[in-house]
Amino acid sequence: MSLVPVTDLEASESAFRALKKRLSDGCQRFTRTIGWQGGNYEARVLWNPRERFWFVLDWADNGISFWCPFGRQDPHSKDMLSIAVQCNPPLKGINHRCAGAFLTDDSEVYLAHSGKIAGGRKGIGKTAFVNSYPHGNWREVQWPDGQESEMIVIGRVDGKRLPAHIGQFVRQVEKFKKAISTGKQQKVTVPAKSTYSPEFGGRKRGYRVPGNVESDCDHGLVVNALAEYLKKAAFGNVGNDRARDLYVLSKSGKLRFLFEAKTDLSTSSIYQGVGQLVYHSTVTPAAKRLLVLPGVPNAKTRAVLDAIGIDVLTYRLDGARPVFKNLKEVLT
Amino acid sequence: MFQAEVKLEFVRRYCPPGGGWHVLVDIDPSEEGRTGGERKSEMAKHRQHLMHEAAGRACQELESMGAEVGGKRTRWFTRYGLPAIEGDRDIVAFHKVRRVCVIAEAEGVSGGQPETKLYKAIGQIVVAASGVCPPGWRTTFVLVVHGREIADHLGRVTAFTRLGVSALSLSDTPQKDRWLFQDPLLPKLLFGEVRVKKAEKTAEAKT
Repeated sequence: MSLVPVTDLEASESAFRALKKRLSDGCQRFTRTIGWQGGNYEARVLWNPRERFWFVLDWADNGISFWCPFGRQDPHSKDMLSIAVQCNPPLKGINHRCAGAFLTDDSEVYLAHSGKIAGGRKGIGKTAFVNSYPHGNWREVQWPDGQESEMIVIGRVDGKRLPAHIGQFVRQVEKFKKAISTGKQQKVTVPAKSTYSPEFGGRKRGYRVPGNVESDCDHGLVVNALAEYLKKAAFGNVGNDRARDLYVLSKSGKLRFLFEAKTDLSTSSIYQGVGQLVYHSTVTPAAKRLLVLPGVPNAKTRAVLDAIGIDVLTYRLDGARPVFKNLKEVLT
Repeated sequence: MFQAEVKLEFVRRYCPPGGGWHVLVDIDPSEEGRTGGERKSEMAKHRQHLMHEAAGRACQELESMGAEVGGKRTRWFTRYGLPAIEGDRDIVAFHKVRRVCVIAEAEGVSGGQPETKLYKAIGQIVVAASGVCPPGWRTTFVLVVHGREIADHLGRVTAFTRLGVSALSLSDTPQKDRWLFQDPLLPKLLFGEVRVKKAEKTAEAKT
């Protein structure tokens, strides 16, 4: 199901209030100067110590949009903060110039970003960010003016894991900007050398099962947690690319493990995961293929997966933290 | 071609009921544009309308050819004395004389990313191919796609033939259809140039 933007002022303000309430919980308050190219502004800043990002949620002076800048510098030690990314939804109506938006599927409201990243440096822009971030939770948006576009759904405005989803998104943008400024931005399509770009959430672009908009935002949490574990456990060179969620290369460069993560147990998701694992391991043979699922599939499905040589790694979310149940077992 | 039209053309060209095939086709509501909520943009509304029309036309033509569209699958297998095939496969076709069973998954034009749809179809056909084949029948699995992008993507995995899966890129005209990779015997089996021998039937039955 396509999402539509919230265009009504009252509904936008209600979404903004929900966002503010959810995001402010457990945050520390500071008064700091926020600087950007060509200006600065003293504002009340909130710092999320767990996810380690600051933010401001306010009405913009232009009277057109909300003002929602995010950054990663710790205000405990900085008086002047620089913005990593702004996600400013319009107050009302349609405004394609705003990078932020509140989107709805008729039941829930989500905070979304168009991928339009500003940074004042050559190479930082929407196209580069979109290309660098194929694993985002890209969703089709139908605009009342007849246009269709894709936006990254960051999280549900009143969702429990929203701070974690935003935290990952901000880190992703920061990493992208850093890569551009240091000239390290590169595309990797073959696992000759492993590279890993953290995800904030979501999967590759495409159809999603209705009702999974929010759970898809967890995808990045799961993949990132798994990547962290694999790196710490020194299983090999951990990487991901446009097509694959996660892979591990041996020292000799062979594909040891190939992972595909899903955030629900629907038949459609399982078929898709199987297709991805089979397809990519056919292109580059993998020693072990693992489908990462938020629970144990039924016996019949398990038998089929077993027959085609796909192992299942299960997880549950403890708050925003994925806990893998049989990780050691499946990696042996 | 939308997905329903791909199914129609595959049946018409490769396993027509008039050629002795018993054909069961599954067309789900999403192919008729009946899922996914209300379309808001004009483009989406137009696409939904086209899908709906195409699916209706395809169903009608399939039925007029003698194929069964939807309905109770178990009853259909029993009615024609055919072995039951598990799962909601897009197309199941049996040729009783040639003892050939074709199981196909089809993908056509859709609003989603072609890669995503393709992965799902691959998953379905791989799961189908891992199942128990009906004894006494030469069972073959086909992925049928329409569209250059999806065909190019699928063409990269020729190793699927090891799984007994073939892939066909369906074109607007039968002459331009292209097998991306295939079970070498498949075209001959489809067109009756090769029949499953009795000995093979017996051997398969024993397994």
